[in-house]
Amino acid sequence: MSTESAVAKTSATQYGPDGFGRTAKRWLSNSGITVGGLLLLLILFSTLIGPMLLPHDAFDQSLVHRLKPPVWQGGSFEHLLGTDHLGRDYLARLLWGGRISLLIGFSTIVVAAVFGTTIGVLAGYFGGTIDLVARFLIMVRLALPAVLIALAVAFIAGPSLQLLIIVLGLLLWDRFAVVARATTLQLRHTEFVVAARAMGCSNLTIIRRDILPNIGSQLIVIGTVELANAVLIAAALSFLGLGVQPPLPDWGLMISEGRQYLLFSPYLITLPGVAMMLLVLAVNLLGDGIREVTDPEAKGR
Amino acid sequence: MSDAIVLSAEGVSKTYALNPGFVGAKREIRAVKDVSLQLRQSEVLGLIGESGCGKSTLSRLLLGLERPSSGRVELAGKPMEGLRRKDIARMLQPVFQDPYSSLNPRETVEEAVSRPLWAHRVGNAATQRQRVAETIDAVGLPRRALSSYPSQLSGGQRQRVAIARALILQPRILICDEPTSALDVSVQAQILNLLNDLRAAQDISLILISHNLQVVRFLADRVAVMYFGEIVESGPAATVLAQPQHAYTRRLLASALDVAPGAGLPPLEALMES
Amino acid sequence: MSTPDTILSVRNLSVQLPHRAGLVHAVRDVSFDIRRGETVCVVGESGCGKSMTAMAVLNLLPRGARREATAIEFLGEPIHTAPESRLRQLRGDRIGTIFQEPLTALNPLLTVGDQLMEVYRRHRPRRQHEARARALDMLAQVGIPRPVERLGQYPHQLSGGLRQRIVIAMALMCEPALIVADEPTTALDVTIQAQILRLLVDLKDKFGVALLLITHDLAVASRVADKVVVMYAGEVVEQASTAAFFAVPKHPYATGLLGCLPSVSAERSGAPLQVIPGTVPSLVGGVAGCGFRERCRLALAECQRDIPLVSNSSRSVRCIRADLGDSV
Repeated sequence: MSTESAVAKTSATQYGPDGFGRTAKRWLSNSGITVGGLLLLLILFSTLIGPMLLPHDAFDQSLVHRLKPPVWQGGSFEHLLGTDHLGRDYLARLLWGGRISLLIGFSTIVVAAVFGTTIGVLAGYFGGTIDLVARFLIMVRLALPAVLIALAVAFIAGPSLQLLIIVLGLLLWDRFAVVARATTLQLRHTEFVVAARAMGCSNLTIIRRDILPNIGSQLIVIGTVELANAVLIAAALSFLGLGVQPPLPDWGLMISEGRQYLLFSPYLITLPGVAMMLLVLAVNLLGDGIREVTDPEAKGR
Repeated sequence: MSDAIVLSAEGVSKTYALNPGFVGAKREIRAVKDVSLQLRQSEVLGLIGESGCGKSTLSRLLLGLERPSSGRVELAGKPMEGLRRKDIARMLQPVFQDPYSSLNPRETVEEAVSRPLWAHRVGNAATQRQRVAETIDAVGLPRRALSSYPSQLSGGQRQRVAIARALILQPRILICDEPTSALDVSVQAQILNLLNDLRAAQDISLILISHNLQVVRFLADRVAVMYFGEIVESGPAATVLAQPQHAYTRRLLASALDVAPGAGLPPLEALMES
Repeated sequence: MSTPDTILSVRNLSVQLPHRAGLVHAVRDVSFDIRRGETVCVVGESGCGKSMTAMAVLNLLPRGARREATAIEFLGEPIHTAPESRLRQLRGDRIGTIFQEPLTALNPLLTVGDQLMEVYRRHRPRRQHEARARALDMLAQVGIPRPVERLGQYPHQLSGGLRQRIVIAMALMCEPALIVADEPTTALDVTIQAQILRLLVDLKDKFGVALLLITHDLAVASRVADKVVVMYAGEVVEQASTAAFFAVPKHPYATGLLGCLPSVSAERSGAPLQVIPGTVPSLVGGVAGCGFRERCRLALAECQRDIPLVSNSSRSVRCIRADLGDSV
């Protein structure tokens, strides 16, 4: 404790713009951020650009070439990862499926974050009846089994990508709301918020300038956890046939389609499984890393 | 020093409801009881009290951030309830105890200090920058500190930033809640000198809330002693601190230790409630 | 180096702590003695290393910290080389400890009585049956009314002042020879602070215990200490008997610090308080030369060299500009 103050005092004499270089260095020296970030970048890059570079289209069927094994199991270099039961190039489908997974993941998180953060911040900041209503909503949400609801909605309304995103977004907002509410509650009583009120700033200004920037890092961490969550639930729904519909490739759907060939062509299941694991791992590593570097206790200024 | 009263409280009380849940009896706590005080132009009024005496609640009432349960607060002769938040802000600004939590960690010094101007739409970008620079000079911060974030500053420097932010709208009154109690003595001396200079140079009235009698003695013209939500004694600082009448004031004074080598500590009877 | 009267003797104590920016030299070359029944105050501002010094003596440094000393002797026994198990025996038995925050010093799940008796049972296993009587006696000693009732209460049922009294009672349970108190009153209200200090000093005198008091408050030091150790940037800059130190402090930092203090009894003159310009130097990687030179009005070119602690009969000063003379 007294060392901290000694060090803080000394750094006090170093003026100048916010050490952007120092911040960047701290972030990059965290292995979670570098490994997770690189992996995620790699996945993003290959799924977005990859399909354009491949000789095969993900939708071109060729029954002659069906169920070709990947190259290390005696397949040809023509189809690096082999082909599926309709003779479509599995690598192309895997990359295409990644696009869909990422699209679902990120869109869901945006919906969930906007919805949850709004509720949480309003509840924490204004308290009273708004807080009561928000807490009720959170409680109701926590009482609902997310996967079951998504299944039911997809079953009733018929599967569609947009619907999947909106339903998942509206099911995964609770952690954003809980964290935003708790941190806002703490911030509301800090002296800089009271000072902002005393200087005549509007509530909107205070939320925008004092609250949101200071809860951002916590929300990013929640975002990474929920992103992984959304990808997994979406895959589960697709597996059950209530998410992404064929012929669109999706990792969950690909696993489902590969089920009947499990015995002789296990790669049909393991490859999308490994891809999903890598994506979830990357996102979780990144989230852990961000939590580590932004945690004020670990920061030691 | 003129006799114009810039801020006054008349019979102000504040009651909080404890345990307002679904079950259990409602209990009430009276944080401030029937407090009356007046702050005159260019005066420093020391509000003395220990934790839980209601001084922080009183400061929020005086700042207009909360409404009294009964009684009235007047700012420059007008009832506080009738004033808009922004009009109050132009006349009255707070300085808080903890320079670590009184600044938004994500704002640079320049952003923090210029924010009141921005919120009140005073001047354009150029004149705002000019005014920020002048205020930074006035509180004795180097201009290169403008682009720093609070975490890059020491406690004393942060408290200077907080004072600059409070001063930039040129208010007539500052309400300082324990402005130096989180600081080391050598830094405390700098901040006390700064506040002393400001009231002389800028014709500002101060309410100085503190438990530290040395600090109050250094700055205050008049003092009021708070105990369990009430003002138990008030008067000119020199009189009250030299000849305290109330038992609590006497006990406080006995507990306030100056340097006195070999003098030992006062006897327990003087320090304990009788 | 130590007389039979010496309770604690610390020689050339240094503490280094790892930090992202490098090694923080939090305590450098600190030496002092405490004799039987004596009160020694280590004073200084935050970050000067005074708490670390106390923690280093008790072997309670944070993880990763490195401690070096040519000697730390308690009642003639070298404890800087002793294993942690020996220190654990001594703490709470022959060395009582009192820390700043009374709430964290007490276990919230155990009653006051359990905690007091636990100390006694651990260190006096053969006299367990006396524990309760001893606890009641100590509660009475620290001025707690209705001690029997208090024994069964939990820490959260007590005020801050009462809790700190319990902590003092705990420190005294096993008749220690030394009490190490690190800012024992800082977390309390002013009126309670003076009470607790008074109590601590009275009991110390009554039981003949030596007291190592870490404080930022020069006024407290001036009133209770026999000897004052002033620390700055990890080093002892001046060490003297209380009378000699407050009569004429010799180190420019000590002089400056005393000048900063506003007074409650003095007439108000309107004159500004003295200030010490500048800020504390970085302790990362150590400090070369006098740590105070950049804030010092008397600094010379020679101050960039390491300054030795120079002593005469009544004090030691780490400053080449200080005139020790022989008059003091």
